Amino acid sequence: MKILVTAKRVTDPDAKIRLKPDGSGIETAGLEYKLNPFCENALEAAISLVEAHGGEAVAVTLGDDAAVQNLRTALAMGAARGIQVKVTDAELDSDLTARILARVFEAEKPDLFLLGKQAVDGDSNQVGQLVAEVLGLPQACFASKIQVTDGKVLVTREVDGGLETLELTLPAVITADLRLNQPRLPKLPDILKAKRKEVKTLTPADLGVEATRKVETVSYEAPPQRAGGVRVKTVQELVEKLKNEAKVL
Amino acid sequence: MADYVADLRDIRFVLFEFLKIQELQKTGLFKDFGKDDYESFLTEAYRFAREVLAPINEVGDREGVRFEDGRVVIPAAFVEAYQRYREGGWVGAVQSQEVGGIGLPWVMGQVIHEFFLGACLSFSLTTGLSEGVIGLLTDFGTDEMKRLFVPKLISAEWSGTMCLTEPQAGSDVGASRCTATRLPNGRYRIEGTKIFITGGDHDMADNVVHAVLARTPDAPAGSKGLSLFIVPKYRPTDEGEKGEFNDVKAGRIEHKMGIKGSPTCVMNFGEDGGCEGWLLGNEMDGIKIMFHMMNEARVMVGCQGMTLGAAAYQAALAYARERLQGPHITKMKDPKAPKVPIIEHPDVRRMLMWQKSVTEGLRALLYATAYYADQARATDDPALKDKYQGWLELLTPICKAYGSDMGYKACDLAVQTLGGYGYVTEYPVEQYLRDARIAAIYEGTNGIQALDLVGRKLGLKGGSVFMGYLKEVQTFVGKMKGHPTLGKNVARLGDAANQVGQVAMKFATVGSQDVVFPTLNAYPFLESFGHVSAAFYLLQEALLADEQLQKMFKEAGATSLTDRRKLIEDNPEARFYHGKVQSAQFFCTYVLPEVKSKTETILSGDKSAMDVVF
Ligand SMILES: Cc1cc2nc3c(=O)[nH]c(=O)nc-3n(C[C@H](O)[C@H](O)[C@H](O)COP(=O)(O)OP(=O)(O)OC[C@H]3O[C@@H](n4cnc5c(N)ncnc54)[C@H](O)[C@@H]3O)c2cc1C
Repeated sequence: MKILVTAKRVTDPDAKIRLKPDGSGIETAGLEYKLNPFCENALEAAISLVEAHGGEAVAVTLGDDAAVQNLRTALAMGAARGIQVKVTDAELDSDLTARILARVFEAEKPDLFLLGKQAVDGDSNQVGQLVAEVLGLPQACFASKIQVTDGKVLVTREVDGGLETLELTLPAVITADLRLNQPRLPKLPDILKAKRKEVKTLTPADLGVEATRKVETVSYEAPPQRAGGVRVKTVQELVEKLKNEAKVL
Repeated sequence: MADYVADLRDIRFVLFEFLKIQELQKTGLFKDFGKDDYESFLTEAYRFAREVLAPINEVGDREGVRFEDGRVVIPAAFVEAYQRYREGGWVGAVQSQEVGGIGLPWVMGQVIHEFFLGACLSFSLTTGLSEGVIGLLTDFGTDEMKRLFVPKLISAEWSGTMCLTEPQAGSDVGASRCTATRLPNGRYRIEGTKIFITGGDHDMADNVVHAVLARTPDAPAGSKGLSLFIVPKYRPTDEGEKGEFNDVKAGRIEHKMGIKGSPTCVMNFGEDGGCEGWLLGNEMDGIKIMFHMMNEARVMVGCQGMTLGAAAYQAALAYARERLQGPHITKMKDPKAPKVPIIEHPDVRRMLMWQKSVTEGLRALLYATAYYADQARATDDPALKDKYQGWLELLTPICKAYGSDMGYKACDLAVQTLGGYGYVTEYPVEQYLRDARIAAIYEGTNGIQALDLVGRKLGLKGGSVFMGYLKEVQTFVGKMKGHPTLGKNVARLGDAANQVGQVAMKFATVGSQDVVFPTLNAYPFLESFGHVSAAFYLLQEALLADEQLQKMFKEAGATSLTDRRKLIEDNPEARFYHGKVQSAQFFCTYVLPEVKSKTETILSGDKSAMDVVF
């Protein structure tokens, strides 16, 4: 089977993010980047499905040239080839991302589209759902287990208060949760081989996508600093404060 | 769980801005690798170090190695990590592609070592030794031996060791008593006991392949009579699979101050007369062959000091930013003044700066030395080959002894930075300190390194290698001593290099009549030379960094001191470059002048240590 799978470059979630003084974005100088952890889960699932059923996994990233470095990690893990759609992060919103990915899907015609359930930079958790909507395909998000059997796929997904198992017809869109698997680390010889694998570079225009956005970013602001705690003397006082100051009761 | 953090920005700076290792791509040997490739290997190695090795570091320290019913038992977490190491193929990083490796330059091997040794020293020693044995086999083994042993070592299914030490033969390797008797099948019967063998036995790999120094029956006494053998725990079958037991047994293990997750074993060879070894090279070539491997092994031990020092510094830095204690120095008398993080106290800054500048200096020294080795291998120009090979030889004892000593001192200051919290096991720095201590001892004690420097390396090619290196330093000084910000410190380097040269001359002239004089002072001389070389690299780096920083000031239109300060505070790149300039400045002001006092000590000719009756 042929699987399309995302490989997004994100800022290192362990890094301390600072905003530009004018609030126009985050300060990127000196930041470390890595592959989105949820995309790693999606990649691991795609590669092991291909190992079990044959076919190929094609990794796609939307990003600038630096993102190709992270796409290489996906190739080193075992994706057969890569596609870079050249855009900068600032040009994208979830809707445009989904429309671009949908066009890539149509061009590649895979049996399955695997995405991370969200990217750990923006944490939007929207793209997989939107892609399915644009393409009119069945979707199963937050997968913790994927089983493929002739033309169908069984997906166990994590929902509030338990697990839900869905049966989908192929082609379908699935987004991966952390508990889906333990992503493999690339092997040294495969890192070397990855650079010989094909990476195709496209632009949104090549794909016939109009690069318009529904969401405009006005400005970035750091969350307010946590105020110091107070010690209350009585339960009475605590209830009082929760009611009147925190307004949670 | 303690987090392992490496200074990736500085590592990239050394590789791509200072040494410019991407230029190796122009050579035939390393044509496969460009900057992007190095970047991939760096990223994946760092990730492996953090995700697989760092989590087991403390486990190894707490659980330690056990010896049960004649078996060496390693913490289970190590066995698991080894499995992942093996799958990752890391042992082959710098091995040539002909034998199934990746063929990376050694300087990249140094980066991988920095990460792996820093994240978990006690794990990475075993795998480092496998690299050493592969090197011995590929350079000196017969085709048959390569076929039998190398594939399993490269795949890390088997691991390696180096067996030199015996109870009576520590620094004095020539006193070895292990024997080797030629058998009709062309192999040798090995008998004897080796002690302190790192990775001697364990359950991580299926087989252990020892490189053993032993003496053939009619060989002369001393190191010249030693031969080197490949002695597996299990003999390989004809297909190179694990075959029958080769009568190699661990007798016991040592209990140690640090590297507690690493098995240090007494190894008994041929207790029942059934141990066979494969000769490497010719009989009595043992020491010569060992010397061939020595540069790599010794530089790696220096790297252990550097990387633990650097990791300890990162931990100390993070701690100093968080820990509140006392008011700011300017508000000492005001009991109501807010408490500040200790990073604001001048004495804490002094300690942090020592750790920063020294570990950066060591990194540059070690990477540069490995890069000289790569250039020596890659160039077609015989004169350049000679020059770089000479510098590699000269700097090897510096890397080993200066790297391990100064790295250990950096760990010590990291403990001090954390105060009482540095001394307790809740924080990782006390383990770094204990683990780092071994690097000054094995692979030839630091005292022996100093003798190697003074006895062998100063005299290489009639002294021209050493003089050539100092000349390079002085040429740099001549060119740069007028530099507006760094000139004064460049001049300090010039003075220190002169003093080192002066002592070397004195050794040469006095040493022929009075052998005690150079040997008594070999160590302070090694330290002086270490300071000079570290300063040499730090200053070159600082000049590059200053150029970048000035460029950034200009681009941002930052002309006033306040604007510049603000740029340095707000922009991490500016902060990094500025930090490099400060590192060189601090090192040249606080550390380098020690050369002057050491020189004075040495030239005084004092013999109290010899005259005393203990
Ligand atoms: C944890 C650990 C792991 C080890 N791993 C290995 C291994 O894998 N393989 C292996 O073969 N060995 C290994 N060793 C052994 C190590 O290499 C030796 O301990 C080291 O070479 C010193 O020998 P020694 O302990 O006998 O000390 P000695 O040689 O007795 O030295 C004691 C002191 O005397 C000094 N000294 C000795 N001779 C001279 C001299 N001629 N001039 C000036 N000073 C001198 C030394 O510098 C030292 O300070 C290991 C040791 C330890 C502790």
